[in-house]
Amino acid sequence: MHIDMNAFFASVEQACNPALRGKPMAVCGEIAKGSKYPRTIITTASYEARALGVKTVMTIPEAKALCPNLILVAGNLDKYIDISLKIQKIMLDFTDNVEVFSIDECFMDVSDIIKFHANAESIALQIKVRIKNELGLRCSVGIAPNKLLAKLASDMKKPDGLTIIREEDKDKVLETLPIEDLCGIGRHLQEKLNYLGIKTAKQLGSASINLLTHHFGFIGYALKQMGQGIDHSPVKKYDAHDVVKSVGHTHTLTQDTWDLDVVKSYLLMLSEKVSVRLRQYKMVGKTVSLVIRYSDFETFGRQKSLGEYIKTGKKIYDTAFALFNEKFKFEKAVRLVGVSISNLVADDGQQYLIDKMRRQAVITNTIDEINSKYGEFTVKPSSLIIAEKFGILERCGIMSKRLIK
Amino acid sequence: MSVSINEKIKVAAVFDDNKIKPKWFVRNGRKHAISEVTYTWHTKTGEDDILHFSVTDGSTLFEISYNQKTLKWNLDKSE
Repeated sequence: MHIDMNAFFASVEQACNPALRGKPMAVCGEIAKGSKYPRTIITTASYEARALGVKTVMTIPEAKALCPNLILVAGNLDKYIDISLKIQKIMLDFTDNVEVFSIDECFMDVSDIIKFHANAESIALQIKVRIKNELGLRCSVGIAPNKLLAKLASDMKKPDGLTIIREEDKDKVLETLPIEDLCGIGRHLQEKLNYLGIKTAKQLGSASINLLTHHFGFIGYALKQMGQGIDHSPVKKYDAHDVVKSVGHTHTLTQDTWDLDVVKSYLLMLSEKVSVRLRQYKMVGKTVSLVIRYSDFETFGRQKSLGEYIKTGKKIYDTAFALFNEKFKFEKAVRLVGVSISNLVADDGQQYLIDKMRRQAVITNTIDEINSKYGEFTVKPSSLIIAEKFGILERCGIMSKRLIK
Repeated sequence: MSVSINEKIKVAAVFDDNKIKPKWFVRNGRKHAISEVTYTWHTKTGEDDILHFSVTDGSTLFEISYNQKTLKWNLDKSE
């Protein structure tokens, strides 16, 4: 079973504010002081706005051109995470076979509990009723023999849908289904497949395996199975931890800047945030990546692998700033900065023999304890004040699954 | 768009069956009777658990919050 919240962020805001109900509205990033429009994009549009052509990832001027009455609401990710957790709790009242797919989507395996209910449809209806009554939100549910088809089913009727794809219906559904409707086939893959004359799921399922593996390598096998509606991946248990492969943060500045001190301060802030999460996961990493987007939206990313594993904000910052100096030209104003670390392994809690390093580890642990007790950046490097004065916008975007469980 | 306020306020609330129902609050000497709590959610700031309430006095929507550690109420935003 796949449960997909309908226009999640927008629906939460409409539930919070009766004046927004039934109106074209959209959730976007926070508006910086003095700017007419947020420097972000439409995160989610209500169904009323979607009917007028407003779509996710549109810029605000684009959306306003289509819908001049569009009401914009600054997103509140903490609120959405809490509501997402409440939705997960409702599902967990039925089974612990709940896999969080994103902040507004979950898979459930109900095969173990179906004996306690009339059928899967009855479980889906109970979940829909509870989400509606307890949280005032609607969702679409897809029921099918596997995750691929369940997700496809939930996408078929929105909002407030309940669609069942049975094993015997599978071939009929896939016959004319455009390949891009299959979860996992993005725009680039779609274009490549279309170039090979493969436009429907049925064509993908009946394509020669030699052709698919020749063009897509081992993924060709998975593509063929997708076209046949086959998916053997299990629904993960709720308490199963996903493997963390990288940790990163990006930030769009309140206004474009030419000031190197501002860029450095944001880099340090992001490096500190990355390092805190890295230590929460009890991991260390040795590849630091830096992303810079300029005022003309040209975006560059570069990375550097170190000879040692690191976990402190200062070391991540030093590497990121060295990358900035070596690989980036400061010939255009900077709009966005991003820092991430990958090549992660579990932190073995190394004890330092050198007194200076041992002291630094004690300081880092103490700062982590204070910030965990009193809130993020209660104790921080003084140079972060530059970024704070320049302006830090509230986050509004999708975040790690580990933080929404 | 809502306006950020972030002011301490006095609130009358009913604590009933593990639920908190704010009834009225006073801001700038004016009492606002809460006609409806439209939504509630919970966040954490450090170790502090904060309960957030989206409330209306019939004409304006407010966001108020209650810090369960310090037992203080705050007016966060208004429309």
